Amino acid sequence: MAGVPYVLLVEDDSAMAEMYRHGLERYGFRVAVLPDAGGLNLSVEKDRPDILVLDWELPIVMGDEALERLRKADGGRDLPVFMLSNFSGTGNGAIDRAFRAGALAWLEKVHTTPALLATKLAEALGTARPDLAEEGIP
Amino acid sequence: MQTDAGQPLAILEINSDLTRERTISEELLQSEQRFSLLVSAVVDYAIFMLDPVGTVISWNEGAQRIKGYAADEIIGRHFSKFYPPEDVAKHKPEHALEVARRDGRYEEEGWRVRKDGNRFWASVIITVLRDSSGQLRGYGKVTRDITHRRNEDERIRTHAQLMAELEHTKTQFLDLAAHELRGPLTLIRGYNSMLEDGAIPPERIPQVARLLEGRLAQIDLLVEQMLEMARLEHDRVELHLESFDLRQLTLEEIRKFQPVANGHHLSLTADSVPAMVMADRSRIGTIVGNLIDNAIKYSPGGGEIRCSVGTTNGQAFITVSDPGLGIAPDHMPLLFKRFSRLPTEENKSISGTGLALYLCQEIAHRHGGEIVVASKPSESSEFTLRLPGGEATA
Repeated sequence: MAGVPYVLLVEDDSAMAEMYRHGLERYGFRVAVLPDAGGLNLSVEKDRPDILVLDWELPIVMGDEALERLRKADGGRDLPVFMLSNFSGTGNGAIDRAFRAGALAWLEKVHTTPALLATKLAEALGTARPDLAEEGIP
Repeated sequence: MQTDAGQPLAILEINSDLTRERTISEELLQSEQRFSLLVSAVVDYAIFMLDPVGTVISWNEGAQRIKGYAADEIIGRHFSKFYPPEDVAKHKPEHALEVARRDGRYEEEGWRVRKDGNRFWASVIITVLRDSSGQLRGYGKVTRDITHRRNEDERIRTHAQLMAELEHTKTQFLDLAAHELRGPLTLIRGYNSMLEDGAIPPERIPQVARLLEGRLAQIDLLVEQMLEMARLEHDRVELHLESFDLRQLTLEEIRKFQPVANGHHLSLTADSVPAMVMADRSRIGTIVGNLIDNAIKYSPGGGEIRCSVGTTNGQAFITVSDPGLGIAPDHMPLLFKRFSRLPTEENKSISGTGLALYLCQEIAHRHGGEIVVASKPSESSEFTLRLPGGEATA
């Protein structure tokens, strides 16, 4: 990984996506947002993100299923992935499927501020969380 | 006794005291008579005997009462007459006797048929009767009509099932409601932490404040819905009636939603004359707000949300139509049911608790009005609230 770490965020709620995008950028990440997991494998193959943050409840394909599919895609096998959802994931086995498919953690959005997410991502990437980006950087 | 010459010498008389035997035999007879009297007088149980092949050979009062036959109508007939035809076809009567012969006793609960053809739910015990040499002499049969108990059991079972379903629905609702609250809470907490550590540039603060206000309103709405639900359940809804123009109210609701309607255009078409109603303004506002909110939520592709207000046939109406996902015909009857979320592939990621439309319809009904819906699946939905009134008196 060279330079600014690149995060791909899959999140269908536009307000939620905007908050995390803004926060992560302020904490020094480069962020791309997908509103669903339909084109996830293609995006990963093409853009080669350093890390993926995947919402669970998504239109078209649910997050855990999208992760299982991703593991078979080019560049998707070893990509570090965080699941991010306000569902606990325990009632329907989604959390187990996500961990079996190699998710690093299942984070509950309500307890995950953008700053905390940035810290987790930095830890997973083996870097320290950058301090707030300088003014002028979005 | 005789002499050697054969002359009688003495008479030997042997007397035996049979008093005891005679007494026993009389007592036995009396006991049998008493027992027979007892059996014949029992009315709650059909107690009768069958011969070794299953022919009825005795009958009591209870049997007549339960099965409907007088003794002379049934003695000499085979006991399979008491079974429903389908059980006779399956040889159940023969099977019962076979089990009784093998195990000494047969016991079951099942349908039996009265003389008039009606069925009753019977508790049946058949006991094999053998003499002291082990020879089969017949069977004793005791039958009780427990239809009432069975109905009661059924009623309790149905009630328990209903309660379990309700419990399940309420748990489901709590899950949904918790999730609905977590969405706005996530944004409020997230932005608050960014405001605290300076991650939001000052020029963006007013925009963030508006967004947070919108999310607080979402929480408020859900809490209000839960309270309204509780009021409806306890029939404690008090309407605060006042006269107002439905056009003005709709305009206010549109203004409220415009900031959160990303990608949607909200429009209002109205008659030039007021659409006056006598209603609870705040509650009607909630209904109109919910209809607009649903229209936005269920048209994820954006487009125009059209509100039209007017009067017709002594009624005022507000129609909200959207170019959204539409409603499948088989979902229509569930639309206004309590806690009924209607998940489809397209809307599964759209939030909701299944409370709003139920509440809206209940409140409309309490005003003497109603909400009706028309929809083309995958194309559009149109919800109309109709309220009594509508005369342009203002």
